[in-house]
Amino acid sequence: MREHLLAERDVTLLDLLDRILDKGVIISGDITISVANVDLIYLGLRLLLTSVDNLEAMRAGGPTLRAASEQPFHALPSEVDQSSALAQRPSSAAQQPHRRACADAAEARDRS
Amino acid sequence: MLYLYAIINRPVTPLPPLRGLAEQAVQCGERGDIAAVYSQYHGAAPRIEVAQLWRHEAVVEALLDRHSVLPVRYGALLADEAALTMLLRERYDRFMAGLARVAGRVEVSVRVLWPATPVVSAPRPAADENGRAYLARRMAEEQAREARLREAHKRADALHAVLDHLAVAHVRQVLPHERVLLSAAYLIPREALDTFRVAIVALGQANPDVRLLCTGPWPAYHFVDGE
Repeated sequence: MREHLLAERDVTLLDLLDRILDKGVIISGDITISVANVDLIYLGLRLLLTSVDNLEAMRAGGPTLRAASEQPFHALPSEVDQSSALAQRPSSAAQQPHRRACADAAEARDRS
Repeated sequence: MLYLYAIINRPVTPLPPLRGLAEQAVQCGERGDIAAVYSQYHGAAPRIEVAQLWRHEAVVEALLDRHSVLPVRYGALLADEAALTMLLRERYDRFMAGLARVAGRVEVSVRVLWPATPVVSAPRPAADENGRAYLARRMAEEQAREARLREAHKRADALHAVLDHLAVAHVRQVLPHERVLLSAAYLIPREALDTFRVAIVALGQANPDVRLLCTGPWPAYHFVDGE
């Protein structure tokens, strides 16, 4: 389950970075992010992707995990240990976007 | 300075008591039928830290339930209220058009992972490989690459077609990475979320050799066109 949590968090973070740093309304002249920082972030993206790959490799030989997709689309899987999930996220509950879930079809398939 | 999170439609319902970057209270500056959501900001430019990014995102998402939202890219600072007023005045029509485009809609991310293929392993060149053998080997490698690309587009097109049917707009990349067959964002009506989720699960079951990773709903980052 820990691996599952990690992957879900990584994929969601990957999607967040992909959006918040590279998309959205641009206020020209006021972008404050230095190129060097962005490079670092995208290096991070590649690492995240690698971690997803690793997870899949582990899963191939490991136990079947619960399908997140059977949970409401915009809620954490109820089986997930909420305290440890929050521990890896921003510190305040007020900071938590209400939606964070992966619909992982592969897991649904594993269960069927 | 002002740190900007989003442009939303009016009337502005009472904002939840949100705290933005640096724990500053989130406020609204309004003009006509639109409003800019911001907080006061002092000090050096915002750093790229995961907690900060989530804080920005949390503010934007808190607006999603009651408003049409144009999310602003992380890190946008304006000098003062006068600069904010000027921004809303100068881009008023573009913001209005953008808000109309995303009204009642959310973005969903889909990534499809497929098995990595072994690097094309043409026979190792012999010490005495002649020019003809070399060219044949290179051609075989190129043909294998092209076959892989054709297969990727064929598979990606088939998966995309099912999801695009539920969407009003999309952006997508085929094979952005050797392990990623398809990376896409779909703009869908909020009420279609459940249907979309069911479609993702069904696609996964019908395509056992790939993994579909889906997150959402997101603000429509991919569909604001810079505005």
